[in-house]
Amino acid sequence: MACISFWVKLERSVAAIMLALIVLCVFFAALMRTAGFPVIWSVDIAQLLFVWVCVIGGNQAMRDGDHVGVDYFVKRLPLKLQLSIDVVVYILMAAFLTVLIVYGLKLTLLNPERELGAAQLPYSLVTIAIPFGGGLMLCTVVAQGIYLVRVCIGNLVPDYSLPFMQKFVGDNDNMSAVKAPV
Amino acid sequence: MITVAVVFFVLLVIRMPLAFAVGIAGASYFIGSEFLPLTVAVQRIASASQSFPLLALPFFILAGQLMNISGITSHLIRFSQLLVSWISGGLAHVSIVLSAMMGGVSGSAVADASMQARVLGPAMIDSGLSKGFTSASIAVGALITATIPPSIGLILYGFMGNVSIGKLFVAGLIPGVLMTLVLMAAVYIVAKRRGIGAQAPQKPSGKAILKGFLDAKWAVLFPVLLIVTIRWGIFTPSEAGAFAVIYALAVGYFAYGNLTLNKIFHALKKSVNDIGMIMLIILFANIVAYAIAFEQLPQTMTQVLVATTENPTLMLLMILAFLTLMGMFMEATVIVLLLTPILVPIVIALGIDPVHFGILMMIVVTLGGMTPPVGVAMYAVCGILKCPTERYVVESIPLIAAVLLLVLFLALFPSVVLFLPNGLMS
Repeated sequence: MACISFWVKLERSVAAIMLALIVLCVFFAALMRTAGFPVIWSVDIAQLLFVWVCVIGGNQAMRDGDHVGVDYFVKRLPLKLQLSIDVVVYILMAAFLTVLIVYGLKLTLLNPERELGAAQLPYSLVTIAIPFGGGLMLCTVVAQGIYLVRVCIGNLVPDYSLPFMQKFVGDNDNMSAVKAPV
Repeated sequence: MITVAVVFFVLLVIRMPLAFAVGIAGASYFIGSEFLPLTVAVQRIASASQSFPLLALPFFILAGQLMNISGITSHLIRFSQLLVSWISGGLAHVSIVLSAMMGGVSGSAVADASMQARVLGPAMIDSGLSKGFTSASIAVGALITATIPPSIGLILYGFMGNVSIGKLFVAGLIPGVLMTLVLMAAVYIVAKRRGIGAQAPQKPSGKAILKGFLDAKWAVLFPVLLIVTIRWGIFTPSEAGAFAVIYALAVGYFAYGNLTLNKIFHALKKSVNDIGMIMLIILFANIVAYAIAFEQLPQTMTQVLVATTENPTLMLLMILAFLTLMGMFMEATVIVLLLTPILVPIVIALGIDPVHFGILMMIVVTLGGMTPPVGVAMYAVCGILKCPTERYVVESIPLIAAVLLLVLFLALFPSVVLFLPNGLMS
């Protein structure tokens, strides 16, 4: 458990630092261009880092139950049925992520020579972020999915205060795409 | 293509997270096709992330977080209170003006509405406004952020439809200001009819306004700087986003002395979650966008539409009516992501300016968030203020009617929207 929580912390910090770097890269490029000394690589680095922030952020949102869906219909069903439906949802998500990983790796190996803009970095640093992020999310989905299955077959007492379990309780009667700042 | 739509809706109904519902629906098209390998789908995801204009999105999400913790938001609240709380309707006007000023800050209607419901809502109810009217003016007032730059929705529209985000930002300014005025007029009329008084006893003196402005100058200047730098081509919208982040940091640190490294790090982490959530939807939606283009769906639909009427204005109104209806049932982001790739080629073929259309589309689909049955902003505000939905609905009617009249006006007179971007940006 200790090594998982260490990994989670590391992931969060790395993504936050990457986001800060993206801001600095673009700001620096804008300043230099205005001053008459355009630097092209700076923006390339920012775009490269961005895809990594997206997939790591996607995984964190998954872990924290931040991904939004429509609970208008499911919410009206009995809890037991809701849990079973969610198991199906998790299986489908795991299948989709597996497809992303397999074909993402294929794509990365397909064209190793392609370069990323002017930065002279391999473009595969971009494409490999997709299977990498897919892998992270698959771990999260499998862990949460196993939890749900155990709750369903009754060998675990569910803890509804866990972030990804909160959708089963309360009245989050909405489908929000941008969460409000607290 | 029908399979894709069916898969998407079934997955939505069983509460699949939106990003995955879009992604799996898109993948189903590739799986069902003989010519398209799945590697192309992954390729679409990767290449969508490498768009420079799209970088505006994480920047403005982060800037919005930083504004709240840096004290810029609270300065804006104080200043708008000073400006308009003397008008009949009192704090309801404050809420609307604050939305207009925050448009340049939070960039999202839902975020703006819930923030205001927390910060201003209780004070509004205490000042004698009914719960329903308070909730309605906060929620519908937040619609202003849909057009006043930097609107997240306009970034998405520009990205998906290949329309200049800078032009969209500049074009959104006048409709945003008009909407502020129209909503204030609606609040004023309702307040006068019911004999609701003002909050402040009298108009502030010029001196008081100047003092208030100087006190909040860094916060008030922010949206102005944003527009000015984009409009004169000093910055692209993405660069302006990075600038906004640095600006918020500098003001929060030097002028207001509110920021610590810890707070900044926390804001970064929270933004990563929001960015991951919304970007996953955007990246996966690009798989579907590819399928839409591959099927030549826009071309087919244009032919059908042109067969019904050839009058572009009538067509525009029909499309807007359709979008308003869609907006009531679906969240604005989803509509923009899925329908922009279809609609932009259609409106261009019909001779409608895509910048003009984008502003109108954003207003009507975001408006759906303020109405039942699926209204994110409405539920957020009513939830926070414990306001029954029925009372909200009744009180929101005059405000929504005002917005729809404005949309009609903007649709009939494109130059109101377009003269700023076209006349000033070449």
